[in-house]
Amino acid sequence: MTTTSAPGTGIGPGPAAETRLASFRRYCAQRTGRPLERPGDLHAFSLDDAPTFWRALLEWSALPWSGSADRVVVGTDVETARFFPDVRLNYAAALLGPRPDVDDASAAVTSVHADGSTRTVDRRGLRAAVGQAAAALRRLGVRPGEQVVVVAGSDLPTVVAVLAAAAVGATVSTAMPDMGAPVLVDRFGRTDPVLLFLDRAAVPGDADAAGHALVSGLPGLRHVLLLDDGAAPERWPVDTRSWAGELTGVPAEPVERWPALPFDHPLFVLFSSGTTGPPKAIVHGAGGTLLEHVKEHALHGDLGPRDVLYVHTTTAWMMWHWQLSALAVGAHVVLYDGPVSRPATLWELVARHGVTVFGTSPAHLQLCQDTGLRPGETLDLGRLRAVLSTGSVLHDWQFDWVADAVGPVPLQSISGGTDVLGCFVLGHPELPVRRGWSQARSLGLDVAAVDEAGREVRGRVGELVCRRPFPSRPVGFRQDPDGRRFHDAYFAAHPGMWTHGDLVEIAPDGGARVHGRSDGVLNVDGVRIGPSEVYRALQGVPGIAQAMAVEQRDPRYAGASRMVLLVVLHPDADLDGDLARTLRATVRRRASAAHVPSLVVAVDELPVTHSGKPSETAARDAVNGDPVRNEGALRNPGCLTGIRAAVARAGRSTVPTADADARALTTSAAADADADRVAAEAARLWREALGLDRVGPDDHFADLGGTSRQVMTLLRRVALELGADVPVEDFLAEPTPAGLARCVARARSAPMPDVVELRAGVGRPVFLLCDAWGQFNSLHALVRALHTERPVLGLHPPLADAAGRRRSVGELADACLVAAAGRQPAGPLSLLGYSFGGLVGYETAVRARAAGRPLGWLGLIDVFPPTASLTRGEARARRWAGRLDTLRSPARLAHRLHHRVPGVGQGVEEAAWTQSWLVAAAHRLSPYDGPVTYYAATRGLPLVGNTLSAWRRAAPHLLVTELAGDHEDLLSAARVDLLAARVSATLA
Amino acid sequence: MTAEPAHRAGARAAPAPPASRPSGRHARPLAEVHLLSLTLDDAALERARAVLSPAEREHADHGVPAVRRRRTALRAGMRAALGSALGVAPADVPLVADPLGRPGLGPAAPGLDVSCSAGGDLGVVVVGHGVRVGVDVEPVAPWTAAVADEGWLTASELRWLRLLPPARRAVAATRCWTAKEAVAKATGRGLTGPLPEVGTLRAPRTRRTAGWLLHPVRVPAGSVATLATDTPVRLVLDDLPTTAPPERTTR
Repeated sequence: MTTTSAPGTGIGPGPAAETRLASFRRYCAQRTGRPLERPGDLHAFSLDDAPTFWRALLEWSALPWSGSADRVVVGTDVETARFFPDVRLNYAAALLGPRPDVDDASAAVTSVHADGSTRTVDRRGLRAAVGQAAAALRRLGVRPGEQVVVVAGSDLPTVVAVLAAAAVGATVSTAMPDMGAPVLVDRFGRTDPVLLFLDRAAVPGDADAAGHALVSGLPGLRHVLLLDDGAAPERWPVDTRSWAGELTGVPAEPVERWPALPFDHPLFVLFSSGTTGPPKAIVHGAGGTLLEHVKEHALHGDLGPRDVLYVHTTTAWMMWHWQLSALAVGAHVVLYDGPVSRPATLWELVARHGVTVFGTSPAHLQLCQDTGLRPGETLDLGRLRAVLSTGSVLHDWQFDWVADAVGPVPLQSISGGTDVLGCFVLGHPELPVRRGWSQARSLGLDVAAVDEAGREVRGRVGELVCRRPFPSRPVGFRQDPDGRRFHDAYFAAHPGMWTHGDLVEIAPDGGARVHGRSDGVLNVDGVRIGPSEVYRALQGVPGIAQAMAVEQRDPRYAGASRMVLLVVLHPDADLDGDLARTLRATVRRRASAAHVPSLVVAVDELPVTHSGKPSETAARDAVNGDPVRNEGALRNPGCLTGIRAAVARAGRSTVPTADADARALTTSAAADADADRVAAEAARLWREALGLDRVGPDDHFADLGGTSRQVMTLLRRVALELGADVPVEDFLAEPTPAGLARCVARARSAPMPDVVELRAGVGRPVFLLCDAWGQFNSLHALVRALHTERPVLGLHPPLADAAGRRRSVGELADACLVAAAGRQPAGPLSLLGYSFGGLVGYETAVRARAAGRPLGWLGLIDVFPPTASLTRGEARARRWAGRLDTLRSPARLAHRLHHRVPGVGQGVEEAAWTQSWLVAAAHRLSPYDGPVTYYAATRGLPLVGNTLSAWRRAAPHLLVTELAGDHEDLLSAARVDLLAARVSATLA
Repeated sequence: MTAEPAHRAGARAAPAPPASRPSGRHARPLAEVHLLSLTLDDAALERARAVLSPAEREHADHGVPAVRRRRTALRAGMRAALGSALGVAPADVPLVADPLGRPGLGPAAPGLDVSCSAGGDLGVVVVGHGVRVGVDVEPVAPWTAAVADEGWLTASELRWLRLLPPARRAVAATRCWTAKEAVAKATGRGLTGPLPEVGTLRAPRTRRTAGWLLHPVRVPAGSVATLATDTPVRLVLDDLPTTAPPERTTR
């Protein structure tokens, strides 16, 4: 493959192993004279100087365009701004045109089918096929701006049809053949299509009848083109031809023939469910779509001509169009239109075709995990360099699973939406992956989390908004002439901002975490369901006066979600088996199987706001057992108690579960069901720990060949996945799966595990705070070496709440105070803490004093004051000291660099430490006037004086005693005796 | 205060009488280390089983076949080693378990201590003459990110392990585990107590930690073994056939 390097563009290889993002950054730095070296500089530049950024991207990406790029953005309001009004381009030409950095003979698209057969076409071949198809469409009279719809699966003919329609300037919508005709008519009818591509071979049931219904429902159709090679249908009301026949003998037209169209020319129309009303027909402009996708692929994904991209998607979902655009960066796209008969199917596909970037969903990953799959071991995934996940919330343990069962490839959680045909948060080729987080916000998009008043919040969950104009903002809706629906959908909640409808948390380092929908749209295991679709289907079901569909965290499966339907019945109706069955059957028939609720609960009243509007958010919080956030805004908050009780009761009743719930459960009482689930989970972890296929409930761990080390692994996984801290002794007393399940149940129902005895003794206890991992491993040596008769009790409150959110130092301190006071109701408390634990201990002391229970003694072992408590000068000095320190010590440099190497699977421990550091850094020291004994390490950051100044500002009575060594050494076996001696001498 | 290098294979220790003690103030107590193979053919398995007590046989039978073989071989090896130290037949060694389940000779031979460990196909039996011992052998387990998550490595141990080149981490981590386990077996508390921090072990030197001395034990490649003692010792390494008669064979 010959490559030529075009200076100043993204073409050609940069210095060895430079990412495309780095190359672009250099390009921008040269153009603007700004250094852009620090992390976050490029993102800040893309916002502060957006016109330069977007123009630079357009030019660097070497996309074919004509006209003038002098006017980059017109207008400052995100709703109405327009980008590149004087640029003209053609989407298909951008994807398929010859590029100097890509060999024309390299593979462009590979289509894989269920039977394993494949068909690959190279770039030249695809260009010719699309050229031929475009010529055929032109002959059929398709003109720019007209609508073409494609109902077919994800394979090569579909790609050709879509790109050909785009090439001639038509607007395209795609859908899957298994969507019923009513749904298709409802969607496509809004776009008034002139041409329909249809693959009858993929339509289930009577394809001709379904096709007839579809065609009849679209009155503007001029032609139907059949992608299958079946017999001509009888008596369809529109001219119907075979597509293959249309192509015969048509010469391919060259790329130059394809019209250059305005930047905002409508390219795709995608459909999205809303909370109310019919689905939205969202129109996406060609230029915005193309530029955004090129940015996401090339910069965030570092995708290039050597990459093979496979995203598991269907033509009904935006990811299909997203992956198609990868052709514009020269990547090779793999399509698969077969069923996923086993979770391993997709991984086998990845292995067989040398996929380098694999896109999947949390639901698929969870399925792989639940079935014990270990693709990294059973398949050759040597070429895989990244896994993308999107569709619903990706959980922390799934990151661990990928690192463990697939390999040390970054798992990039990406999130955006059909509404923008792109991502708001996604990966970053230079940053490490933090467990549970998306790595970066999309460049050029001012993504932020805001509160109800529209003020930005950091480190807390808020509403996801985009505050400045961005090119991938859709052009508008179909059938919305005055733009009112468009405005209400995205711009009404927060004026001047695009409100996306997701809840997000932005971390200080720029990473983001999406927490689900903020509106009432349900995400049931990755399938987006608009409640209004359910309500429409329910109309006419006798006995139902009112209904409300909400999403519930599935109590049976971690990370899954299910639909709960709350119904208010007519006075004379009863929710018996008959009514429930009728309800489900009706919904299934009128909507789809995905719309059938998992649980139907009869309630007396549904929550409404003061203005009479039903509040799905309140109902959802009640159904999930969460505190209801907007209780004050409700007219009838009392109904929430009834809802909670009814849902709890329904969980215990024997109402059969829905067909949509493929993992059917037995109809046992809740207690048994719970215990069964715990037992099943325990057995699964057991099997995974020992690598067995089957295990009996009374099999002894050691008898099966389990070693002590495997006991540790097993209990650790139990702690992480089942949330139960089972002590080793308990497990060893009964080391069977049944025994483990019992231990788990006991551990969960144990009332106060926050205090643990580290060392027995007599007298008033010494409370020792846990370390940054919530553990005492690193402190055992100190505990053992202390000279005291008093017992040593460890305080370890859970570091995160039930939802996985890290608790602040203040919250931890509250928990510690309660725990300590519970163990020692009277007398002065003695607290000792190291590093992170010391910070929590300090804050506990402050709270104890405020609660009128002053501490007897507080010992802090080399606790750094948090950055938030330093003056600016001190903070700067600390940063410099940190750098100096790194430079002086090669080991430390290696350690720091290690953290920056992307893709190296960071252990859970490392991530936990980083999280604790973030929690600590954000803390502001409260003033404390009691005595504090501070043990300071002398060797370390050379600005000990400054550290102590910060402490003295908060706690004037600081008694400092110095110890040789640095921060990490103090507790090590070599030096701990000295520390213990000093602590023992000053303990009170 | 390091022990002598433990590689004097073939050297026979001075014959130790039962209930031995260090003969002089300056003579270090002796720890005999016996390596044995746990993969026995059926004939050898039957011979090994023959020297076990009924309770030991029952315990072995509880396991799946691979576990049964290992337990039988290891127990027979322990009996052989103690038998030669006591001068009795393996089947007659008065093995008892202390309240925590730790095997030993009890009051019958107060100067002798024993510890054994199985790791894959390799077994190790250590007999301590006047010294408390604990030994652990493990096949080298690959290093993955999940190892950090297993919960037995302290923060500083993790940091040190991460600084090692990846190729060396597996061995280092396994050595770390054997060190902790060896101490746990020497104390008799096993996993029920907190595992000590052992830091990085730069074999082949001995290291002191948490009141114990840790000695690397030389074993075939692919496995790692550590011995913990409460005082400095002389180490003697022997290969012990599982069905050894009272006199030892040396290589």
